[in-house]
Amino acid sequence: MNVLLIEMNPFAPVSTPISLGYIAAYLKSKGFATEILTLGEDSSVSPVDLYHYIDSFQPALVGISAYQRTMLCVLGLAKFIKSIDNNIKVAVGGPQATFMPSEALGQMSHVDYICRSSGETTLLGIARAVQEETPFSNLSGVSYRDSDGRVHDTEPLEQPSDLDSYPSPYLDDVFDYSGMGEAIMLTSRGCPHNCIFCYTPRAFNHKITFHSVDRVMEEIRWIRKKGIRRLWFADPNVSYKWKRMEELLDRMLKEELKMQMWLQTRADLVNPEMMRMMKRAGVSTLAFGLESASERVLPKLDKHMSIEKIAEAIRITRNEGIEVELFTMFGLPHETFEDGLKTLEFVKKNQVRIMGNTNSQQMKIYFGTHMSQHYEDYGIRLLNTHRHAYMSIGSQYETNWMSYKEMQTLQDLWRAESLDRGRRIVS
Amino acid sequence: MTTSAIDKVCVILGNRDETKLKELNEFLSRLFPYLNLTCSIYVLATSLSEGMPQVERIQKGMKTYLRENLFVRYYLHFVHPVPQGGTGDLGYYEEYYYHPWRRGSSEFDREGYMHEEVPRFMLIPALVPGEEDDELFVGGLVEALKERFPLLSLCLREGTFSLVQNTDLRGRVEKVYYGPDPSETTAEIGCNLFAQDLLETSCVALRSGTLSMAFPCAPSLFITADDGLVYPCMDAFKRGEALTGAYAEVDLEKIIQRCEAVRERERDCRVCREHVIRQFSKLPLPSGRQSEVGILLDRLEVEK
Repeated sequence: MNVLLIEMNPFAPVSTPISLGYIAAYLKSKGFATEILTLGEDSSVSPVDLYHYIDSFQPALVGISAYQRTMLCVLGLAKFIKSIDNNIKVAVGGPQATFMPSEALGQMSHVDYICRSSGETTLLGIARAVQEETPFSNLSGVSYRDSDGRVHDTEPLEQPSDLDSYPSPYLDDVFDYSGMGEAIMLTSRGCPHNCIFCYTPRAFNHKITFHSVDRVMEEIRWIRKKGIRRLWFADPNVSYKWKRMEELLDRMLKEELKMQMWLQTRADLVNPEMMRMMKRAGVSTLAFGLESASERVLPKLDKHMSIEKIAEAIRITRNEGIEVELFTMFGLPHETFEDGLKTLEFVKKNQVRIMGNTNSQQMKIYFGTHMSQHYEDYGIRLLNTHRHAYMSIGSQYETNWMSYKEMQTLQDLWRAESLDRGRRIVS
Repeated sequence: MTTSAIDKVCVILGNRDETKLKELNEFLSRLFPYLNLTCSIYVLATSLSEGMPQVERIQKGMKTYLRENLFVRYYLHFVHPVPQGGTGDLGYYEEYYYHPWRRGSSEFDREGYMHEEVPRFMLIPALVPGEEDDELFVGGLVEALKERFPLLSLCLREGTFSLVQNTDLRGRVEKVYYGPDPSETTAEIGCNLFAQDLLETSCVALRSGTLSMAFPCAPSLFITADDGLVYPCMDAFKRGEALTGAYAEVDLEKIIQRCEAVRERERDCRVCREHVIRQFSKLPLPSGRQSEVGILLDRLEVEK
C-alpha cells in the first residue's frame, strides 16, 4: 500500500521535512511504500503536475503537515486529493493538529483523521487500518469522523522513550539530497519546561527524549558522504544534557567531521568551555529564546530565566566568535508598549544583528498552550470571535496592556531596524 | 515529480473587443491548471480606462479558479500608464476605477484574515508614468493607491528615471522596473518587466554560485489578446515566433509540451540572457544593481 506525506508552505523555501522523514522511514520499515512531497515558495509545480503525480503514485493514505498559517493549503490539498479519488484517506498531523479541537473535523469535510500523538506510530495505525479496509477500527492517537459523520476521539499513544527505535530518515535514504543545502537534525524531542506561550512541553508530556550519540554520529557521517556540510539542529534545547553534547562534539572533532552548525538552546545551558568546543566543532550560530527584556514581563512567562543570564550567554557565545540569534516576541501578557521597546533596545545594546530569526514578531497563541485554553486569565482580548474551529487565536488578539495598533507599531519599529526587511526563518 | 508549470504569464491587451476578450478568458481558464501554484500574471493595457474592464474580466476567471483551489496563489499585475490629470482628479480615478477593482478581491482579503495569512489573490497596480506626467500627480496617485493596495510597482524608462531619483517614490512602492527608451508600447514594457526578472534571477544565481548563462529562464507565456497568439517565452515574443493555433487547441497539455520543446530545443537562451544583461548595463540603474550587472558582464566574457 502506498502512503504519501505532504508538506506545503508557500511562504518559505523548501527545507528538509525532518518530521515527515521520520514518519516515512518508519512506515517504510513496516512495509508501506512511502513518498514525501514538499512544496515551498521556490517550488515550480502546477495543479496538473500534482494531479499526475498523485494519480500515478496512487496513495491509499495521504498525511499532510498542518501549521496555523498553512491551513488553507491543507484544506485545499485535502479537497484536491479527494477529487482525484474519493477513496484516498486524508490525515492531518503536526503542530496545528495535535491539540486541534475535534469539532474542527466538522469544518474540514475532506479530512478523515486528525493525528494527536507521535506521527510515526499514529500514522502506522491508520495505514494498517486502511490497508485492512477497516479504516476506522482499532485506532489510537487520532480523532476521526466515521462513515456516518460522527466524530470520535481515541486514546493517546505513548511515545517510545528510546528515540533510536525509530529508523533514521537519513540512513534509510528517505530524502533526495540533490538540492539539499543543509540537513536538519532532530536529535531530541520534547521539553521539560513550562513557558506559557509554547505548546511543545504539553505535546511531549513535559518529557525530553534523545537519540544516542552513536546514532547521531552515524547520521552525520552519512550526510557528509552525501556532500552536505551544513547542519541545522531543530532540537528545542540541544545542550540540555551537556555530557551528551560534549561527547557528540568531541567525536565529531576526533573524526574530523567539521560541519557548519546552527543550534538553539536555553541561555542557562551554556558555559565558556562549551562555547569553545562548539566553535572548534563548527557551530556558527547559536540561538537563544529571550522573548522579552522587561524585568516585569519575563518572570511572568514561566521561563525561569533572567535577563542578566541571557546577556551573559550572549557575551560568552560571542567571545568565541559564534554568531548569536535571539528569539523575541511582543504582545506578551503584562507587556506594555514601553516594555516592548525595552526588548528592541536590549537587542540593539547587545549588538545582536536584527535579521533572520532575530526579527521579532507578535506572540502567536497556538492550540495546546495553557494560554490558548485560559486566554482571559492572561489578559488576552480576542479580535476575531468567529474563528474556524481549526484555527487557534494566533495573533488576532490584543492585551490589557497593549493594543493591536501598538503591536503593529512595534512590528514597524523592528522592521525599520532589520537588515533583511523583517524576514524570519523560524515562525 | 515531473513538472512543466508556467511561472509567469504576460497578457498584452488590445482594443476592447467582446469576442476577443471572451476567447482570451476561455483560453486563460483552461490555462490556469498548468500555472505554478504561485503564479504572476501581468496584464498590460494602453490606458486605465481601456484596460480596467478587461482586467476585471480576467480577474473574475482567476477568482473562480482560486475558489476551487485553496492551495493556489495569484499575483495579478495590472500594468497601465498613469492616467491623465491633476491632483484634483485623484478622487475620480480612485472611486471609479481602483476602488471597485480592489473590492473585487475582498473575499480573499477576508479569507486571508480568517486564516491569518497573506491573501491568496494579490492585485498589484503597476504604473507607467510618461515624461510629461506631473510628478506631484504621480506621487499623489501612488500615495492614494498605497492606502488600498499592499503592493504597488512603477515601470520606468530612461526618460522617467528622474521620478525615483528626485523624489521619495522609490521607498513607497514595492518594486521599480527599469527599461530603455523609448519603451512606449505595451509589448516593449512587457519585455522590460520580464527582462528585469531575468536579470534579477541571474543575480540571485550568481550570488549562490549556480549561474549558467545558457540555462533557460523560468517557463513563461506571452499572449497577445488582439490576434490571439501565444508565445513560449520573451525571446520568441520579441522575434514574433508564436505557436500556431494555440488559442484554438482544446488540449492544453499539447500546448504546454510544445512550449517546453521550443524552450529546450529551439531557443538560444544564452543570447537572450546576454542581450538582457547588456541592455541593463547601459541604463543608469541604482548603484547596487549596477555593480551586479558589471559582475554579470564579466561573467559573460569568461564564459565566452
